Order: sequence, then C-alpha cells, then structure tokens
Amino acid sequence: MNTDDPKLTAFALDELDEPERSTIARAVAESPEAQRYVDETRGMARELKKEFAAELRTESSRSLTLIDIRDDPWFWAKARPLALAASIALFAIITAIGLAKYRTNRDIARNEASPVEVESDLPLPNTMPNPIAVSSGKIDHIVVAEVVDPQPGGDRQQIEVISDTYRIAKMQKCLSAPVLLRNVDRSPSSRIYELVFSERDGAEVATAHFYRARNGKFVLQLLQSAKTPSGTNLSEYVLPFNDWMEAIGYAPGA
Amino acid sequence: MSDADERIEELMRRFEIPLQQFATRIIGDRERARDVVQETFVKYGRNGARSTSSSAEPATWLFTVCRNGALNVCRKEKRMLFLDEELIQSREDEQPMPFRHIEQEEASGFLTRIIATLPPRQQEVLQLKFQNDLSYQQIAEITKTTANNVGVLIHTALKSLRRKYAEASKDFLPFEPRTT
Repeated sequence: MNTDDPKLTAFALDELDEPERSTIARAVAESPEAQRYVDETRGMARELKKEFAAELRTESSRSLTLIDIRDDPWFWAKARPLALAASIALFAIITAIGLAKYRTNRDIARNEASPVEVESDLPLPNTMPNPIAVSSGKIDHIVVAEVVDPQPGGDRQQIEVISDTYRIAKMQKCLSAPVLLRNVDRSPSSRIYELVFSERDGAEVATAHFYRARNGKFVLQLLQSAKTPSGTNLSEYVLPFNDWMEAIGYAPGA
Repeated sequence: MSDADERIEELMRRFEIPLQQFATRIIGDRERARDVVQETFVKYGRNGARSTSSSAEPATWLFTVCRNGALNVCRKEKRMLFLDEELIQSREDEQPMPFRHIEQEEASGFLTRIIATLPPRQQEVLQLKFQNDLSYQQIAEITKTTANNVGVLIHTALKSLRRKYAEASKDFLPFEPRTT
C-alpha cells in the first residue's frame, strides 16, 4: 500500500466517513508498512497537540509579564519617569488639538442641529469593545469599598487596598476580556462594592461596581469616566466576574 | 445576564487565546491581533450568535471572521502574508513569516521551531487541526478551500515535519565522554 497518500493520513486522524474508512482500515490491516505509518501519524498528532497546548499556556501567562516589568527596579528608576513625562507631554498636545476640534465641531453641530432630538430605536448590540482591555495591564492596586449611598460621590466605606501580585494579576486577567456583554438584568443585588483600579502613581485606570446580578452570577460594571470613549454607554454592559474568589476573595452578599 | 451572554462568555473563555494565537500567526503582531480578536467577538455579539446554531458552528464562525479580520489588517498595512499565495509560496523559503521571528525568539519547543519553518498555509491548517481540534470540513470553510485540499495540506505538512524532525535530530549527537 502506498503510504504517501493523504487518505491514509485522514484515516489516521479519524477524518474519513464510511464506507471509505472501512476500505482503508482493511488495507491497513494487511500492510505492516501502512500500520506503522498510521501509528507514526497518530504519534505525531499527539506531539503536535501537546506542542500547541504549550503555546496556549505561554500565551495565557503572557499577561503576567507586565508584573515582571513592574518588579524590575531599573524600570521604575529610569524608564518609568521618562515614559511618564513623554506620555504627559503627548497627552497635553493631543488634548489641546482634540479640544480645539471638538469646539469647532460643536459649534457647527449646534448650528445644524434639529430642534427635536430623536432617540434611536435600534436594539443595542450584545457586546461592545472593552475600553480598558489594554490599560488593565497598568493596574497596580485596587481600592475596595462598600457602596453605602449609590449616588455618584455618595458615601463609600473602604474595605481594603489590594496590591498583592497574585490578586492583581487575576483582576487584570478578568479586565482584559476583549468585549463587555450586554447586561439584560440591570438590577444589582442590594449590596454593591466599588472597585477603583489605579496605576502605581495613583492615576485611575477605571472604576467598577461589583455586585451579584439577579441570576446569582457576579459581574463588574464599569462606570463612566472622563476616559470613557464618547458615545459609549457603559451602564448597559457588564464583565462576567467568575474569578471573584481568587481576585478579591469576598463578594457583596456572597 | 441572558443565555446569549453566557454563551458569549463561554466562547470567550474557550477561544480568546486560540484566536489570539491564530491572528498573531497571520499578522505577526500581537497587539494588532488582539484588536482583531476583540472585533471578532464584537461582531459575534452583534450578529454571529444569531447566525450560528449548532455547538460546532461558533468555532468555524469565529475563526473565519478572525481570519478575515487578520487578512484585512495585512491588506491595509501591506503585510506580505497570505495575500498572494503564489508569490508567498515562491518566496516562503527565503522570507519567513513574521510569526517565525517571534517563534525563533520565544520558541517553547523543538517541534514549534520546526513548525515555524513550514509554509504559512500548512502552519495555519496544523494550528486549526491540532490546537483547536477542528475537522477537515471546518478548516476548509475557514480557509475557503475544499476538505480534500485541507487533507493534502495536512498530509504534506506532517510529511515535511517528519523529515525535518529527523534531519534536525541528527544535529543532537549523544554526548560520549572521552575516557583516555
């Protein structure tokens, strides 16, 4: 039997349907060379699966490399102040240009706007891009507080400040999800925790409410901030927070 | 959260990293690949969930949309990948894929380095088959070819791997200490 045959490889990988499978199986049973080829192909397939699985594990653990950088004293001593200074300068320039354009556009829009505002009836999509997927890597510490008064600026009772590497890494992993999911059940349980995610220098990355939804699952709801992209209504979306036990260790109403 | 949300959440848990790797292999840039994966899930939330029904279909849908997104990035940024297959195949031995550079720097294993020397199409089908357990038919749908062609690509890739593995293994001669 000719072993240089894609059909034989397909047989070894269980990709053939009947009656072709039975035909090849009979031919393989009569040929020691074909049997060896099939065994080798299956062995190679197992090795490839292991190798690709190892690649996935490497990719999964890649988010931790930011923590490695964070722990590097050289980075904090030299690179970070320089990077911060450059970022601030760049941010100032972009803001100035953006503000000037915004004012011009706003003036034009005001002149052209219809006096009646029309609300869109289009249904909201089930997902939206997670605005902090990338910046979550900058999180250095998290302030956890119980929300006593849910109004913006209302009373908060601080519970703790999380800064240990393990919990921060778990939190970063949760917050780096590519998309937020539509929050159908927007009524949280009676207790809400507020999580403020900050960089090392105290700059706020994001703030989220952490609560148990009506279906019993825990979610994070990002709050609108100055950094939220315009036209984004975060209140309609949540991030599933299944790893709350490892990331925080406790939950409101758990 | 609704059933649809839970389904998306489950798909993200299962496919985010494999899609990230798949897109990185095409684009050669992790950050751009991350954007493509994000966009893929946004599209899934918008209309993919409605257009897929059986349990096997979301994988095909996600990889197809992710692949199209990655190829669009290549087109827009004029990255020489997958765009002109004939040209790529004629140049593949002299010009490695960007991913090959990454692999050369960060290869986790001997076999990974050998896989990275295969032509892009063969790497792609191997990844879809052995990392994501997709069938020839699903891979054919994703890569817009026939199941027979996928079979030929996988057969050829495995044959090349065997040969290259045997050749590379010759370089690792067992160490025999001198006794005199």
